[in-house]
Amino acid sequence: MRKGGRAPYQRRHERGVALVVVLAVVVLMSVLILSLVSLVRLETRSSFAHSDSVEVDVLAELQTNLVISQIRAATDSQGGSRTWASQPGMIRTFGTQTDPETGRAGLERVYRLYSHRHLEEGESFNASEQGPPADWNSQTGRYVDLNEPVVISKTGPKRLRYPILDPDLLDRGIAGIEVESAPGRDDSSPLPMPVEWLYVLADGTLLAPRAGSDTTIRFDGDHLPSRDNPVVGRIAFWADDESSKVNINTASEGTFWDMPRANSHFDADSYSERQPVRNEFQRYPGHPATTSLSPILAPYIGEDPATYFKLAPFVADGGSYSGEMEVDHETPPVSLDSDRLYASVDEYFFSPDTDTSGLRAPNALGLDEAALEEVRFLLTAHSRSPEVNLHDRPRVSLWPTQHDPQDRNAVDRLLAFCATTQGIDGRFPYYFQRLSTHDLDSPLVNYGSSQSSTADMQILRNQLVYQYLNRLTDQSIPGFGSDFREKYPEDKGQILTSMVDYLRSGLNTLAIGLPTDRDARGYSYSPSRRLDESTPQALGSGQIIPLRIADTQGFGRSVSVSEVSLVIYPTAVDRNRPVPERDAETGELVHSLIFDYPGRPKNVAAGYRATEARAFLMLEFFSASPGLPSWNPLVSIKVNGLADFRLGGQSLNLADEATLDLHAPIDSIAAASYVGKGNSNGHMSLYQPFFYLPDPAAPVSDSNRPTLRSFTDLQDLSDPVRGYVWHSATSFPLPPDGDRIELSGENLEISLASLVSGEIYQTIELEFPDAIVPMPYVWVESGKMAETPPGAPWDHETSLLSRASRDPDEWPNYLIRPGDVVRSVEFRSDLEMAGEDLPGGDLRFLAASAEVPAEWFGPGGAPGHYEDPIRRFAMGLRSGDHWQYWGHFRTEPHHQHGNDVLASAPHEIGEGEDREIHHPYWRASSWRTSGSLVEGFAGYSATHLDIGSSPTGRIYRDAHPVVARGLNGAKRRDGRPGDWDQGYGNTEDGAFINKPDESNATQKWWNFGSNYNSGGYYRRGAFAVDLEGRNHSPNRQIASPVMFGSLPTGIRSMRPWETLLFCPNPDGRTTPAGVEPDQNDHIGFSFPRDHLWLDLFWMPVTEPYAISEPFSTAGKVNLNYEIMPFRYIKRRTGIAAVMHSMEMMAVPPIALSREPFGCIKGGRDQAFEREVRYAVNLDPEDGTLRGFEDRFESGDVFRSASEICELFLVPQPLEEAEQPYLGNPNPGYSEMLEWWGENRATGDNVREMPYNHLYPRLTTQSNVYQVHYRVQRVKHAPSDDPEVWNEENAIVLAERRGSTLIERYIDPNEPTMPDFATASLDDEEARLSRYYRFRVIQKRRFLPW
Amino acid sequence: MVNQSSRGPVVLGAQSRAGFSLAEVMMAAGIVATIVVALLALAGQTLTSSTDSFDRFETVRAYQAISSQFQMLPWDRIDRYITGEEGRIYFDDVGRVVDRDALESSMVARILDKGGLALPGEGGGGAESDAPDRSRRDLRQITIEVSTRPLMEDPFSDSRHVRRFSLTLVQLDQER
Repeated sequence: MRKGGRAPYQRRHERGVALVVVLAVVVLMSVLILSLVSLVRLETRSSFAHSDSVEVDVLAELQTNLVISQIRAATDSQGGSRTWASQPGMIRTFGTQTDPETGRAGLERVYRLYSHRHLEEGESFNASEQGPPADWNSQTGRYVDLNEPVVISKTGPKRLRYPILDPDLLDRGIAGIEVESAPGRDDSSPLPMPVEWLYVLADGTLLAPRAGSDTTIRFDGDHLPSRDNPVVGRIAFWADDESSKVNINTASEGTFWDMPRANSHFDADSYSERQPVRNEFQRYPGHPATTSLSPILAPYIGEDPATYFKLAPFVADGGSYSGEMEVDHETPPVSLDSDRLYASVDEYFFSPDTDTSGLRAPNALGLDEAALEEVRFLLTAHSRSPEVNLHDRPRVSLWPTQHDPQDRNAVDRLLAFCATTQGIDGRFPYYFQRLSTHDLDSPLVNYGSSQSSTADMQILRNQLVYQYLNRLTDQSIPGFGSDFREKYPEDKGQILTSMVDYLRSGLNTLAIGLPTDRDARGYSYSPSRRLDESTPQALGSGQIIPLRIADTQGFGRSVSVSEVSLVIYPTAVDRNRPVPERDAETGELVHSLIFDYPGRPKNVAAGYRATEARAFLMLEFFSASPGLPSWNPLVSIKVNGLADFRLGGQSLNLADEATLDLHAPIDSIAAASYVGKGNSNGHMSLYQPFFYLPDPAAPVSDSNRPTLRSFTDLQDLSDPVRGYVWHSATSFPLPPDGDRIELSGENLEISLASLVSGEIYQTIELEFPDAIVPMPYVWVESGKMAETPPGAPWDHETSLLSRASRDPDEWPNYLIRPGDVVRSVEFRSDLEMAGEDLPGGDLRFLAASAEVPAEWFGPGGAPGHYEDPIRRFAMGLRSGDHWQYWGHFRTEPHHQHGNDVLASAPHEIGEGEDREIHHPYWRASSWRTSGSLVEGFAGYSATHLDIGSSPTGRIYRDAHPVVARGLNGAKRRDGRPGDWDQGYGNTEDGAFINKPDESNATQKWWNFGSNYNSGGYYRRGAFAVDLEGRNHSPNRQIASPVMFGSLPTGIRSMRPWETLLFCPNPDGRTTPAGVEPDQNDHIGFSFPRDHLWLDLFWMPVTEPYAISEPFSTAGKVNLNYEIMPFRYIKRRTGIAAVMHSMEMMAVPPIALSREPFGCIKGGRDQAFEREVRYAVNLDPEDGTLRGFEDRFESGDVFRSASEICELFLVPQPLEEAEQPYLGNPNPGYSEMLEWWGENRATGDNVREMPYNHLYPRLTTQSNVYQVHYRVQRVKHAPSDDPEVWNEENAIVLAERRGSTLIERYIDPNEPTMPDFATASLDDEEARLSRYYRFRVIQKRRFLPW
Repeated sequence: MVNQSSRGPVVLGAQSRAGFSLAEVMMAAGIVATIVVALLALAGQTLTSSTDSFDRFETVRAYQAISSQFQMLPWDRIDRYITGEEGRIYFDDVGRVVDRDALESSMVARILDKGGLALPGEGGGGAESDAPDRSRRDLRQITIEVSTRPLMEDPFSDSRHVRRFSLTLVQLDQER
């Protein structure tokens, strides 16, 4: 029975309670515990995720560290025994073992800057084998695409974003960027940049996959992954070389400018009248701002230069407005904008200006986000390259400054800073200093060290830096091998001294308008010109005495003597004894003028027999550094040995030792408009010795002006100041009979000394041979014998004073008269004589020699004239005068310039081989007083007459070069064409040293009423001081050491017409383009090649901001643009940007003629009607880049930026050319030798000029690298063999993509840094690579959205 | 469970009046014990895991701080850490460096030197390379050990509370 109906139920219920309670509790506990577990698991996962995130970040540092280590290892010069060259993805090192074929050292090692199983490789490295395999994308465990895009879709359609290179860039039509058959290209990797993974173990060990691995990776080596030490991550990276990109902080939009060198449209209009003013950096030769952005950005923002100036920091439009506007002394300097530097290319997106809320607005130029994504591969904000020489030691700055810091202006100080280190032992400058400047307040007292040949080298630091260079050039050159001591055993010291003196005397000689601590007006190293009316006129303005170091001597900027003429003229006449027209014995004309020729009716004349005569000397002067500013001499010239001259046994009554002080400032001469406003030509004014300043110690004034010297006063004739001391004190009698008389020659010694310091800087030995000469007589113009009165106006026939008192424009006609007898000794044009080597007419030998032997001079005039008893004139005097042909000294009567009288002269004289053809504009004297730089062309024959088959085959009157008379082509000792210089503006070509341009736009001149010329380039001697410094800029004056290119290399070894070679196309080359030239082409090609001199020097860039820092310069572009290992990606845009605004010049010989196109050296009223300037063809197949491609295809790279001098620049017509071209304006690379052969009238300095613009903007070494990376934190599948990485099973825990920008740099104040100038070259510490540090300057994550 | 349907009244009900049988209690206790033990074990593991997670968080912070700092330190300073000259590095629970005696210190780290990093191709697996077998002197591997028991006499003796991190440093300053 049941009691109670519920009891069983209750019992049942009660019985279950325990279980239920238990289960409930259990469930509850389980829920709680599981929740806790879940939370903890979540937390654990979170902590793992965080840990993975941190560790992948640290992993991302590893690749940066690896690259830094690679760079450090690669750039270690190992005691200066090797050098390195960088390129995108790689650094190669080179030792000193010369390859006899190329002159370059073989590869030593390569250091990969991308992940690869061999980060280093030795000389077996083969560049052509580099690159990912075609099936790289099937080897996913081994290769990874660093450029793999990600898909993003914000608001619009999906698009791909690339971390490195957006292939859309290739569709923009940018010249210089292309991709040639990228391996494994597909939809997921449209532009792959695959590299190998490197695997990281837990203990940090780095492993590379075994070759041949694909998705299953095995590793080599002893240290393999294990369960305890599994693979925890992997890294892939590739470091780009930032110097292969264009720097947006230094580049702008260049417009070419160069010193004018021709009377052509471009030179006269674009270069002279539209020269750059101060701060117009985009036109300064070689300035980083001349590197152009438009080759890259034009597809986005057009080509208007003004657009780029808005983008470029500190660069602004103005001045000549990219050559569009004429400038003068009133044109203000360009006002620099105040844009700050870009921190990254991304900043291009923004305008430099901020809006009212302080935010930066997007720029209005059209550079949007998509555009920046594309051009990022081509641009950088941080490229920087070392200014360290191949020996791993400091380069020497080109810019000379004063020793006393108080005499330095702000620019000097910055430039000096860039070339100075600060160690605990003191400051160590690596530039040359000048002891003192000219005292602007005491201009006649304190001339400064420029007037001494030794004072500047008394600065101990100068001696040390000189010795430093001397020792470096004794060393085998890393990267190339061999050394300059071996190459130039006799001349190396002379070359070095020439370089140092070139810097000292050619650069920065005046900096007026730039205050120093001492003088708010600035300074002048050479004696200053008058700055204002209150400033006394110094003597010798612009003159710099050549520097002497041991037994070597520089060129300075002073006079040497290239010809000495003894003039014997009648002083008394017997009117009862007329002289017949023709010689009784020979039938020849009696007077036989220098420019006389048979049958010329004009000169049929006669005169009266002279009874007495006097003699005087005339000196032809030469300077190897013509150019601006023009200068005045301040020298003492002593002539020894004059007393022993005899004419017919009679003494000439000349003082045996006669010293004349040459001090009259020529631009103060009343007739300066005729005589010139100072010397700026190869030949100084011939007339200057005729003047003196009455009181040299007093300022020039109306009462103290240059005055004719005394010619006869006995007291004055012993006074070096007042007297023309090289004049007979009294007349000497002539024999009463006979038409011939014996001139007994004499050995003379001429000493040239500084009038300030008294130091003799040159001694010249001269030997006047004995000769039978015609008897002097008093000449009377034809048909006027009966009219001739005994006195005036014929006094000039018998009085030197009367001759010199003529109007200056008549001096060429009156200083020597037809009845005189003249015998000269002049600088020979011969290469050898009697088995002895001679300078071959290279006048630079004369200028750089402290002692000039007599053998270098020979009898003057045409061959045989000196000893010809009927020749009255055996000389070839030239004067550097107001207009070129005026200076060709002559005796043409009556007619100034010798022009009009010849209008009716016959153009053809004689017959057969002796036939002479004269140009309608022929100047009588020109062809008599010169020679030709181009063999066989223009005005040369065995008799020095103007013989040619057509009027176009001769040199026009204005284009006669400054060479030894009678030279038939500047020829090297081996007979091949040699090196000579194109004159500036329309001045003569000649044997010059390419003085830097110190001109400005202050000088202005209306030429022929229609052409305005600024700068004085087309007016000889014209120069005006730039009082406000409106055009002053160091970088405008000198861009690079390529300017040294006209310094001779064979002064001591007697190898004339050979100068430093900084171009591939010397006239003497016969080896075709594309083939390695040899020393037969030019000694500069022998090893080590001359261009390696360039590596020792640099020109810092401190305007508009410190683009250069100590030991580095920003914005240089790497010659080695080949990308490793992605050789299929061609990025030539950097070189294209450098060369975009480049021009080159080439002159065909016909440009020297008057017909048919005008003369390239003519007046501005007769412009040359053909174009001689060219743009540069950058085509990689047959243009300039062919030379680059050839180098890369051979598996090699450039080791030094100076190797640009080995590459031909291929011309193409200028788009702006208004004149047609002569010849082929579109040659190919392989045709360049022939093309230059057609342009043989191109001077060495002009051939090298483009390289002067290019070299300072190029490099082969980079300090900044952008490391693109992809790193993953990974986990091995637990079931897999721990020694094997199975890509299919592995787990990627975290990934990072991005880039890191790293820079190597030197702290110039590093206290332990030694003085490299004095440290032994064997000193391990004394190499700069030891002092490099590294810094990360930017990190960027690839986070597209 | 017993099937009750074929036996009429529940036999066990009579027994239950006298309370839970020993077997019943034992069974319940067994179940409870088993489950509790299991749950406690799970909770223990969870707590351990939670502690590990916390430790991981903390130690990674320390690692991050040390790695970022050491990348910029001159190597002679790092040497002093390795030799103990600079002492160990103490952190609080948010990763700040604190004094060793600070009450809030929750971690301590020490640095061990592993020498130069061998690059692939330099003995690290690059059998094909012609490079000499040497390590890069400017790439330095160190091990960072972080203990979450900073107050122990030897915080690094118990490996359960020590995490090890590997770090490769590069010399940024000039070569020595």
